[in-house]
Order: sequence, then C-alpha cells, then structure tokens
Amino acid sequence: MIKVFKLYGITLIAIGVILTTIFHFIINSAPLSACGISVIILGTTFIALTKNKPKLSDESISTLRNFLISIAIAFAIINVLLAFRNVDDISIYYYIISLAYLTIVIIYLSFNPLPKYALTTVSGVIFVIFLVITAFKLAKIINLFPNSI
Amino acid sequence: MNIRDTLIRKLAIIFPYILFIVSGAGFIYALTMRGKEYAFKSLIYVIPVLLAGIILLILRNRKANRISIQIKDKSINYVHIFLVTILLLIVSVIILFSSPTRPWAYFVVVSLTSGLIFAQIIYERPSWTDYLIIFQIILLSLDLIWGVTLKYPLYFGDTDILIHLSYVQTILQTGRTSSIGLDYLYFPLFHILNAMGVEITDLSIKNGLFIFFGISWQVGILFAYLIFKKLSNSRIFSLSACLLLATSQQIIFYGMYAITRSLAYVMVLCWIYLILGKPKFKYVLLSFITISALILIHHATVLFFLPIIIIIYVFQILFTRDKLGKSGIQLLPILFLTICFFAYIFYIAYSFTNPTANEWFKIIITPDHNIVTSSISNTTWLISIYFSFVLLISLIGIGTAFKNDKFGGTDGNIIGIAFASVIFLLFYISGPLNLIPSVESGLIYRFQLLVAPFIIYMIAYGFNHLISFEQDVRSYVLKRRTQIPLFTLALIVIMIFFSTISISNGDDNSYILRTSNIGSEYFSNSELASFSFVEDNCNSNSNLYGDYQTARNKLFFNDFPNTYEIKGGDISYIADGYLVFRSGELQKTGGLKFSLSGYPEDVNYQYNLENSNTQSNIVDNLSGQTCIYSDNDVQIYIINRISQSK
Repeated sequence: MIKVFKLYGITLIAIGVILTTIFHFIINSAPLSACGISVIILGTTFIALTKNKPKLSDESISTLRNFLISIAIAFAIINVLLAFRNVDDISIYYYIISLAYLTIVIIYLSFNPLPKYALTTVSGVIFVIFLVITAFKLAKIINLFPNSI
Repeated sequence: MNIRDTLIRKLAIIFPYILFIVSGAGFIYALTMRGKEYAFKSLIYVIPVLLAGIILLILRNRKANRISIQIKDKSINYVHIFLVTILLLIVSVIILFSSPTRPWAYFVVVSLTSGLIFAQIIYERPSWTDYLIIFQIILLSLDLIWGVTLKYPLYFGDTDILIHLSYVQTILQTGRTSSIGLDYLYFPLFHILNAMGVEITDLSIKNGLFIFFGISWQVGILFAYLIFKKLSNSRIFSLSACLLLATSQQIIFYGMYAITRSLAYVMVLCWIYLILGKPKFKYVLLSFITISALILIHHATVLFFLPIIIIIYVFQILFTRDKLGKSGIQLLPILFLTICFFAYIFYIAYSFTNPTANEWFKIIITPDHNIVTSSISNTTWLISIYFSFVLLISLIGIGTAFKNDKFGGTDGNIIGIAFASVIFLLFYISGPLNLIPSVESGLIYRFQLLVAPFIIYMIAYGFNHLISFEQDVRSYVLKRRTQIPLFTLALIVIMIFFSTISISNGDDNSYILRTSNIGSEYFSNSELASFSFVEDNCNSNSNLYGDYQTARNKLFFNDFPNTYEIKGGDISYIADGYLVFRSGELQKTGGLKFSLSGYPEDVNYQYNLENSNTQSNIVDNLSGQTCIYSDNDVQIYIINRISQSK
C-alpha cells in the first residue's frame, strides 16, 4: 500500500506541476492553475503519509482513504465555486485551499492522531508558501517595490 | 543526558550570575549615559534583579519540583478565613458607596482580601472549595472593575470607550453596522454584542457596555484558570495563578477599559484553552468558532498575539520533553489562525487594511522621538514599584524553573514558558519598552496584556517556591515549622496593592490624580449635562473646541464633524465656534490636555494654569467671551471674532 501511495503521490505532483505551469504561465487562468496547485497538495500528502513517523501500516494507511477523498472533494468544490464567482486572483484560491486543507487536517487528527507528523509537515509547507504570498501582498500594499521607470 | 538537558542544567547554575551581570551593567549604563538621577531611578529595577539572583543562589540546593504547597494549621478554621474574606469584600463595597472617589482604604481592603484568598488557596481544604475560591476571585475582580466603571457617571479611560459607545449607539439607532467608522466596519462583533445586550435588557448604553463587559471579562479569568490548570496539572497552583492574574495591573486596567481589544483578549484566552493538549473534536469545532469571533472583534490583537504564541510554541518544541503535545500548544491551530486572519484582512477587509498598513509602516520606519521622551518622563515611582515586584518574583520563578530537574511529567511545560517569559518580561515591564522609538504610535505597548498570563504563570511559580523556602527558613531559625507563610502573604498583599494603583488603575484617587499629572478618566454629572446642552442647543455645523477628552467625546459630539482640541491657553487663533471649558477638571487636576496641532490624534501635552503667563492664561482669555452655559464645573463659550471685527 505504501508503494502505491508513493506512486500516486509522484504522479499527482508531476501532473500538478505540469498543469500549474501551463495554466498559470501560458493560458493565464487562475481557476485552472488552482486545480494544478490542488493536485500538487494532494500528491504531497500522499508522499508525506508514506514518510510518517511512526511508519503507518498498510491497514492504517487504508483508513486514510476517506480523509484523502474529502480533501479532493473540498478542493474541487472550492475551485468550482470560486471560478463561478469569477475570482481571478490565484492567491485567493491558495488561501481558501489552505484553509480547507487545514480544517480537514485538524478535524481528522482529532479522531486519528496517527498521521500527525506527515500531515503537520505538509501543513507547514503550505504555510510557508502562504507566508511568501502574504509577504508579497503586504509589500504591494505598503508600496515597498514602487515601479521605477 | 542529552544536549537540551545539559544546556538547561548549566543555565540553571549560571542564571543567578547572569542576573548579577545584567543588573550591574544596567546600573553602570544608567550612571554613565544618563547621569546620577537616572541611575538612582534605575535602582527600582536593579535591586529586584539583584535580589532575585541572591535568592536563587540561596535556593540552588533546593529541589524545585514542588508545584503546589498546602498549609496545615489546626488553629485556623478554613470557614473563618472564608467569612472574613467575604466581610472584607462587603467592606470594600461600602467604602465604594460612601466616598465620592475611591480612597486609600479601598485599595488596602482589596489587597487584604486578595491576601486572604491566597491564604485560602494554600490552606489544606476539601477540593470542592476550589469553586468557592474561584467565586471569590470573580467577586474581587468585579469589585475592582465595576467599582470604577459603574461608580462614576461616565468612565472613559483613555477615551477609546467613548468612540466605541458612539458605535454601539449608531448600531442601535440605524440597526446596521455599515454606518460605523471604517476602523471597525469589518470588525463589528464587539459593538453588535453590546447593542444586542442593550436592546434585550433595556439598560442604558453606558451601563449595558460596562455590565456585559465586566461579565465577559470574568469568562476570560475562568479560561485563564483552566489554562493554568491544564499547563500545571495542579489545582492549587492554577488557583494562585488565577488570583494573581485577576489582580494584576494589566488585567485590572483592561477589565475597566471596555473596548474591542479587551474583549478580543478574552477570546484569545478561550482559544488558547481550546488548542492546549490533545485535540478533541468538540474543542476543534469550538476553536473554529472562537477564531471567527476573535478576528471579527479586533484586528490588531490577532496580529500582536501571533508572535507571542509562536515564541511559546518554538520554546516548547525546543525545551519541553512533552513533544507530542499532551498538554502543550498545538501547531496546526496556530497556522489556521494565521491564514484565517490574513485571508480576512487582505481580501475582505481590504479597504481597512490598505490605508492602515501604510500608515503603520510609516510610523515604524519614521519613529517620533518626542513620544519616547514623554513616555520615559511619565514613568512614575508608583508605577514602577509593582513592576519591581513582578521582576523579582518572576525571575525567581524562571530561575527555579530552569533548575527543575523534572522536565517531563506534570510541569513539563514550565521550561518552555520560562524561556519565553524571559523575552516577554521586556514587553511586560514598564520602562524597557519605552526605550523603543514609536512604542506608543507603533502600538507595541499592547504586548503587555497579551503576555500577562505567561508572566503571571512564572510569578505564581516564584511565589510557590518562596512559600516552601520561607517555611524551611523558619523551621531552621525558629526550630519549628510555622504553618502560615506570613512573609510571602505580606509580599502578595503589597504587590497587589501596588497593582491596584499602578498606571491608570487608581487614577480616580484624589492623591494619585494630583501626582500623576494626567487628567481624570471619567466625566462628572455636570460635565455630562453640559455636553447634553451642546448636543441639544448648539449648531452642529459650527466648530467645537475643547480639551482632549472633550474633543474625543464621540458619544455626545458624533454629529459635530468639526471638533478640535484647544491648542493652548492663548485662544486668539479661534475665529468662531463653541468652546467647552472644563474649569472643574482644571481645578481638580491642575491641568487640561491640549494638542499643539489642534487634532486629538496628534501628540498631546498637559496645560497647567500655574505655568502660564498673562498671554497664555486660558481663564483670563475666556473672560471676554460670551458664556452661554455655566455651572461649577463647565463653561461653554461662543466665540465669533468675525462678526466682532466687523
């Protein structure tokens, strides 16, 4: 099961990276880029679960299916809803996706604390990216990098 | 033994010496850089640090893993202590009613009451009496808070209360939050709560605000007790920490100061409790609701609280053995709060965030040194005495925590909090903070309230060890074990006495009001009557001039868009408008707060009649103007130089 999870994870990350690159830099579509980011987060979660401390048994990993499915469904709903609301800012997608991910993780860990290490690590990575986005957002607000022509 | 344990053990040994070096260096710096007078003043902090070092050296061979002590004394009955405490509480209320302002006797009685509650806590008694003690702590806290806010006609503290009251009034009048100021348009929960309370109970806006807030504040104190209990796993220790918190200077002040950040602080305490220890589903759901409420109540509180909780988390991870977080703070809720907060302020409250962030950034990078100087000069001895007690006891607590050889187990979190408290002390103690430029305008002083529970936790730890030390000394000197730690109890009573009169807590006392060189923090009945007169009879399109408190009185003058602060005693610059002159306040305090720019948001100064010359004597300058309202305390003048010159 762990090998399957690893394979799923690598595949999802690869697909996610390709999708995000194409949709963000070529097609310039925020909703589709957000889909790519969601896939990367899902893939990272798959891989992180295989590296959990203590190692998860095949049986316990199989119980994580519901958790992973709920994350995927939440991401899909968020992306569709925001796309229907014509949200065109990728950072908004990222913020809401991060919040949804953390909400599900916190609730899930209150029932099953076994994958705490893995899920906290992924949340930490998501948070670091969030901090970078926030820093840029703040810099824009306080006009830290004014356009110098 | 791993590196962490070795580091802590070595730190425990050298900590008293570090204190000696810090106190010596501080004194020498003050002497060489600021002169003899400043060096003499610095003794108020130097001596406690030195003393803490000496006590820690004496205590170095004592085991420090006793987190709670219970005193056994058959000659004293617990019920008697309880009854005397209740009697003293009643006496304090009688003093409140019998005197126009709170006299010294009130503060003495309140401090003695606190001492008796502490005696109850450490006295061996059945565990159900914990509820009785918590009840007494709540009564004491309400006595201190309502004893000011409900005693005076309109308590306004540092005037922010007036603005919040006007927002509540606006919500009640319009039934909407859209008409309140941009500052709280996206953070209206505090005002909605109070407006709802006023609507349901039919109380006046002022009474409603103070009654509901006083009760909400007690919820915060209860949560603080639960936090201490979860961290220490000791009911005695958590009760003593709860008492010390409820009677600490910041908690008393903000308990009276019914504004958004005070209510947000209550939510912060609720949230900390919910995220402590192993996550439970019901707590997780409650923590989500608390986060929403917290963000919707006050913006800056979350921003200031995040670094504090992160510091505690980092120290907990580095130094606590309980890494699985059985009783410690969890990471994921912190991340969740951070993302929620920034998502809200950047995307929903953007019209508030954009100008505020710009303004704040400008203040941070261009510090106003005038403000720093005034802050230092305003630091009086009276304020500092409480903080010297805080320094002494908390440093004893921190030092004892370092040498605690029982890292895991019941008091496993103490090391992390002790490390964090060393940093927090810099923000909690009045003085070091004032050396930072823009401490006032950068709102850095707001850390004081937020770090209070952690400092108090260390103070309680310090007292805990002082009690056991006192008992050992007495048994060694007197050759018998004295049951009641009279010295520690006296120390607590004195500390709480200074806490109740520190900063703005006792400014209504006539002696403190005179010496502290600041204005009253409440309006008298005649002042309120004069404001009503202006509201009802004056043209709201005209200019309105008054001192700082009058100019900031949005509750009465919300319809007066052109409200200015008087610039000085020379009022010849005022061409036309109404001028509200609080002569009673000038007589009572010896001065009024004016602003050089004429705007209450700018730097204010204390105008004194004694220091004024013929040209700047406001009483003489006003004598030629038309007085349209006069009573003993307030005169309202109408100034119209334009028609006079014609």
